[in-house]
Amino acid sequence: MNDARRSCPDDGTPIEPGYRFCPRCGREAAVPAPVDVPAEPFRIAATWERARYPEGVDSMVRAVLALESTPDLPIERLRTESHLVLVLDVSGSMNVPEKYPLLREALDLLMSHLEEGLYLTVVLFSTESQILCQGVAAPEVRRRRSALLARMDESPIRFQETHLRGGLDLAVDAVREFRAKRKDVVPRLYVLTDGQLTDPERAYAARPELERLGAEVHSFGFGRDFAFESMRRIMGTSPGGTVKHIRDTQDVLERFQRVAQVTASIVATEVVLQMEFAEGVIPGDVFSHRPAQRLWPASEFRPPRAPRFEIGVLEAERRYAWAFEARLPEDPRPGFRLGKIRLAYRQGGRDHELAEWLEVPVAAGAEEGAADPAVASVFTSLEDLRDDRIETQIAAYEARIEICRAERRDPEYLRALEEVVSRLRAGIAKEAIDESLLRAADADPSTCTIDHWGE
Amino acid sequence: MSEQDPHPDEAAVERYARAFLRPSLFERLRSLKGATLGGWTAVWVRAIGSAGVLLEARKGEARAVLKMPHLPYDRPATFGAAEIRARREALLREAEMLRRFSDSPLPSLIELVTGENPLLAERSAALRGGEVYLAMEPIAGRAIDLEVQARLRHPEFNQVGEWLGRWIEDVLSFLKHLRRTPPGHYYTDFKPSQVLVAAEGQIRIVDAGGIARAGLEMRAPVTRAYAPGTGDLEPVSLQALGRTLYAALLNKVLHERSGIDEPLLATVCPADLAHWISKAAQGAWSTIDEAIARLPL
Repeated sequence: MNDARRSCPDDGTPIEPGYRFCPRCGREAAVPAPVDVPAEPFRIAATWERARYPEGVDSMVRAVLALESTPDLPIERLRTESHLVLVLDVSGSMNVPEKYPLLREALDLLMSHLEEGLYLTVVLFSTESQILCQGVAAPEVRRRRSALLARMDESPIRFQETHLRGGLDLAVDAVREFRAKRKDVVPRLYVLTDGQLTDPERAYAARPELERLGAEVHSFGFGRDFAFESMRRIMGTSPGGTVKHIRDTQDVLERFQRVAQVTASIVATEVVLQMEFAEGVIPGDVFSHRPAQRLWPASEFRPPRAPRFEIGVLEAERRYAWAFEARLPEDPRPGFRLGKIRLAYRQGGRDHELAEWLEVPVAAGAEEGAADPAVASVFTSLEDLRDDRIETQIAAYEARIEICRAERRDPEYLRALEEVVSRLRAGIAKEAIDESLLRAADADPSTCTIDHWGE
Repeated sequence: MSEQDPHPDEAAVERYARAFLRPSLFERLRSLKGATLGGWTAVWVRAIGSAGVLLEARKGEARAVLKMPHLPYDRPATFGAAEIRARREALLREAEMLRRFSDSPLPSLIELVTGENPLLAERSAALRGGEVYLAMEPIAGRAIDLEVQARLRHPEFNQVGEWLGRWIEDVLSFLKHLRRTPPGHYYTDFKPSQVLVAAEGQIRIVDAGGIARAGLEMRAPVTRAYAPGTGDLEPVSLQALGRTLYAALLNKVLHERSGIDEPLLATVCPADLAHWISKAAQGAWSTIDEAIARLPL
């Protein structure tokens, strides 16, 4: 469906389809002049893990779907307005020559290069939080940047503890307030923090709010002592969801410029990826691989055979990749179509759809082909996501604790389990927990098989 | 209590699934309640083992433990027809073991039946309809570690050497019988959850899938925390038995690298038995005959 959506003649807010008048101002809605969109603004292609799959075998097939904008896409005409929200750590650990001055310089650079169509909110957090600027348009940001930086330098909240929750609350409010005025502007939130959080539990509790916000949330770890796991937990399944480490603090200048650049490159919104599996195919898990890694377990697909994934927005000149797996029916023939992939998005004021059949390289009587190392490595990098949800890990250890207590089991084992849970709750990644402690907590009761030498 | 009501013990199975497997798997298995499986009606999920799922089942007045293949039913894309058939073959092999060792601590086989597996709804009718179910004697009892701990806390059972020695003798006698039966069978998957003390006080071994056959199969079933060694089947079997007894007596949850502390063991059982169990747990007994000869009586 390619309907140009009407908007409020007063402030440009989109109006639900089917309405002629704006429900707020009562005036007749404006119909935007459609932007000339190229016939194929995006390309989508599947690469199968194996060059061929044997006929008549219910193989597990895996593939990577790559999506890119076409090179001649008129970004200037297609890009949407965006609201960039930065949540910046100004706690005590930032008060060193290789951190705060560089962050300040990066912010200065970002503000001075902020492109038209961008609005900026900056939230500072330490023990308290403070809004430096809220929803300010790019020209005004450029004009006021020295004053904003001076205000940051004089902020009374600087250089205390690292309480992120207050900063997140201010950022969420800023997104909501701005959206109430301008529904058509795409919000995007970036959190930069440099150390372990003082309030991890309170910050984790902000996760549902972030997930409901409908904005992409990303984060940067600044310097060496970064609570990677905590940030991953806080962002949960929010769209976006990248956690990037700026190990060399000098790199923050380049990263912030990149943030401004990509936020100004959003060329499609309301993006939904849908997979429609053919009869007899058993859908497996689907992953987002780029830009952020995320798992959509098959057990949560709704509807089970035609799951929809809310992607959010697409940027020009960025490569998106998703990985998926599925079990073929018991008797597939050459030319078998696994199903159809549909990408629905909004661009230039209209709804669009890109659809592709997924044809599996099933070959008559063939042996399974060799694995494509690039595709295989994508799945290797994603494998951990399946059992890596921190909440799942904690729930499993807590169930072991319950069993241990109910059956009055080994106090040493109980202590190990409690210790592991407390470390995971504090945001420490499982990989960073002492090996002997994990060995005790992970005692495996399941049977396996071993080679024997016979008798 | 109706067949749809949760059984009190099912909560423990659900907890086990959360602790070591996936809650979603338990939910799928629970959906079998009330289903007819090879002529038996599933009543509740009794246990989830590594290779099989155990269901309490009824047929008329008869009760049975129904064993069906354990597959990741909550992640159906992860297994195919080959995996389904392999699990069925393992159950057929287990049925053969139960028939062959019918007069032993293993459960009695009531019948081997085939039928529809409702958890394979996405598969072809042929695959879905060929499920293998083992209907076995239900054994009322408690896992050896829980039973030993209960006994050690209770003054009535203060003669530890007496009942423990009798159990060990019974198990060794079973192992000897297994080994004598051509081509030579060995129980290699001892662990506390496989060894039950029945309500009448005798030792029962609940999983015939823990038997390895010499010469015919190159791989043997083990649980690494209890059988951390490798090599011949006979010492592997005795080591797993030793570590199972050690864990039960000291209320320990072992892992592959858990060490053996004989003086500590001697604080809860007679020193000569503690010595025998420690030696077994360290893999020192290389044959069943040697283990029997050294067992203090």
